[in-house]
Amino acid sequence: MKLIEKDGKEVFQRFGIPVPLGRLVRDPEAAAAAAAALGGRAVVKAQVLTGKRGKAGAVRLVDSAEQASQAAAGIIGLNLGGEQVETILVEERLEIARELYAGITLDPGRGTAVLIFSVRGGMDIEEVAATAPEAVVTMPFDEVEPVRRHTLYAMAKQAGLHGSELVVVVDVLFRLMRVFEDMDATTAEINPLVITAAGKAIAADAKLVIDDSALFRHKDLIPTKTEGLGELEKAAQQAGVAYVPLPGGDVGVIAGGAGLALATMDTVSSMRGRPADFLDVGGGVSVDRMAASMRIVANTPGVKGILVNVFGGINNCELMAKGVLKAIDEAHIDLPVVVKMRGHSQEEGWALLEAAGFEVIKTGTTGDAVRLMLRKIGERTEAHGDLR
Amino acid sequence: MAIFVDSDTRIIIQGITGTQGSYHAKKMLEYGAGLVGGTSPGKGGQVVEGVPVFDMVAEARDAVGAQASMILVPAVGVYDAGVEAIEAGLELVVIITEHVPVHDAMRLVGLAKRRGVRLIGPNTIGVISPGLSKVGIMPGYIYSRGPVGIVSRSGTLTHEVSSNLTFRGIGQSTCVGIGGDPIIGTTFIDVLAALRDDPETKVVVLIGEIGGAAEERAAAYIKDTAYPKPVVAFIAGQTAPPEKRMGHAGAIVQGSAGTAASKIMALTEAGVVVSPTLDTVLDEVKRTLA
Repeated sequence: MKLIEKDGKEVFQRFGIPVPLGRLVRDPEAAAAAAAALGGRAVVKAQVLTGKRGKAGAVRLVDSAEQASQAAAGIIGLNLGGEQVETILVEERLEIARELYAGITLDPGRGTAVLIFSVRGGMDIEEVAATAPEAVVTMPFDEVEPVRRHTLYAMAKQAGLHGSELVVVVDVLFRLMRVFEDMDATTAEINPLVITAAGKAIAADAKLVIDDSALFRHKDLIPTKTEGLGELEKAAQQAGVAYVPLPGGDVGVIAGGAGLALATMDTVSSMRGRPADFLDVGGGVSVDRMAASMRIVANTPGVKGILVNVFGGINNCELMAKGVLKAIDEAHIDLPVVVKMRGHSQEEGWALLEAAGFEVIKTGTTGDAVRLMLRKIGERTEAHGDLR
Repeated sequence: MAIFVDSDTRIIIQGITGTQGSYHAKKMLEYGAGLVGGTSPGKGGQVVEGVPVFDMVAEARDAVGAQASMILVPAVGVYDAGVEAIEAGLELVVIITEHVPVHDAMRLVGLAKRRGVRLIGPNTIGVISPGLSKVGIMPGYIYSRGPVGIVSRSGTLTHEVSSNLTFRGIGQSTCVGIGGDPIIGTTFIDVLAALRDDPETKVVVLIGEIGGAAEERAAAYIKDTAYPKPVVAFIAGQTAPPEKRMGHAGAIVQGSAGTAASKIMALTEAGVVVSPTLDTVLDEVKRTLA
């Protein structure tokens, strides 16, 4: 779960990381009032989850309440990479002496987390890493033992910090590691980490992503904004399946396992079909979860047929077959359906589907199943053409 | 020969009294795997499918000589179960459970490394040495004994490729699902290294998917070690729309890796035969064995 900057900063603040004073507002009048409370000089920033803000003019410096109102009016409603700006942050303007970078993320190659620090902040850290790798220091850690403060001193010194800067920055790094660990973050990033003219270290931005699998440990975290989901995506979330609609497709795909779902889409494309969605039913599928998956794919725009490609491993073929039939029966799905299914309780699953008149791929490949699906869609389309 | 698990491996299931635990206990025994017991705190003394249940892994280790554990407890309990198995000194710990918090996985991977325990998963179907044994939830009959070693991030793609091979008369030496999560215990490289020294394995099938850089690292390993056995690879997600990128911190570790094109190029340059489609993996394996 991604958090907007303001939500991230509130978490940072809870862990003792200094952040600028600021207020979240939704209209120009409130923006003016917030700027006035800060003495007029302020930064007005769009609060979005994905879109790039800087180049789109969605972060503006203002010197008065009136300018803040104008800036807010210009930013609210902007479309940043498909995301509509609804809320903005009006924030204290810092007296910047230096801009640093601090970030923590996962390093799958090592199987650890990694702390990344650079004295060249404020810009694209990937670019810094590519052009001046010596300016970026990294430290892997895996939370089995606590990281010591002196280890962070060594790292920050290596990056070129000394004196009081060393102390204030290491304190932020130490607290950022606590945020990362205690909040089950997959990314915790401050860019820039500002050193003010007065010598304080303040997080001028916040990027915080929480592991979706760990949200059960963070029920008190109520995000201001969550990713906008369509009706079908919400239904998928509720049913506990991973679903992504693919505009322009006509072959509905339901698979067990993300890898098989991707490979099924690839196979459809390789035979000149167009997959309409990615849907992974996950493990421990119930009759209801399978039925919900069928309904979601049947309602996906453009779908002309549904291909179910599943295994009875952690799942059970009989339950999955019942789910397919339940949806067809209750939701009156009138589309060609092809099921490829084998594994635990396959005989029971096959028998149910065949009794209901469906063709089942038992030992054939995914390619065989896709070929049959495309043929059935072709036949149906032709028949409809004849009627016309 | 086989890697990681064979007919002598003494296995327990952590979470054996649950719905999944008892079901897969039955399936493992039917398959002839050396399941010698299970654990479930508070249920010590019970019997499931004829094998004894213990409260703790250390008790199962002492009483029935447990060497390997299959963890089938809900995600919220995986960390504690994993630590218990590792600290009891088992040799092999396989975490089947999906949706395990990534920080829990990272701590388990770190602990297993320090203790020299082989950890497989989380979010995996496990490992099977067909005809000998399995520490996993795969339907046994779609696997058969033979010369093909399989390593995969995707469980159901392992089922797909193995069953396609089995139904056409080609068996497997050992198949390892390494798991689909970003942080996992046993990697592609660990399995490739083990299969290299397994005399029964004549060809390796590597099944990857988009995201991360595990396939690129495997390719570098194959190239750098002049890997002595033929490798056939398949990458799922070649036609998937590009992933949304997470923050800069993620991009800096992965660089430009993660796309199917990047993985296919790295593997091809390492001398791996990359199958264009899922179905053609069969043909490539046949050709390599001929």
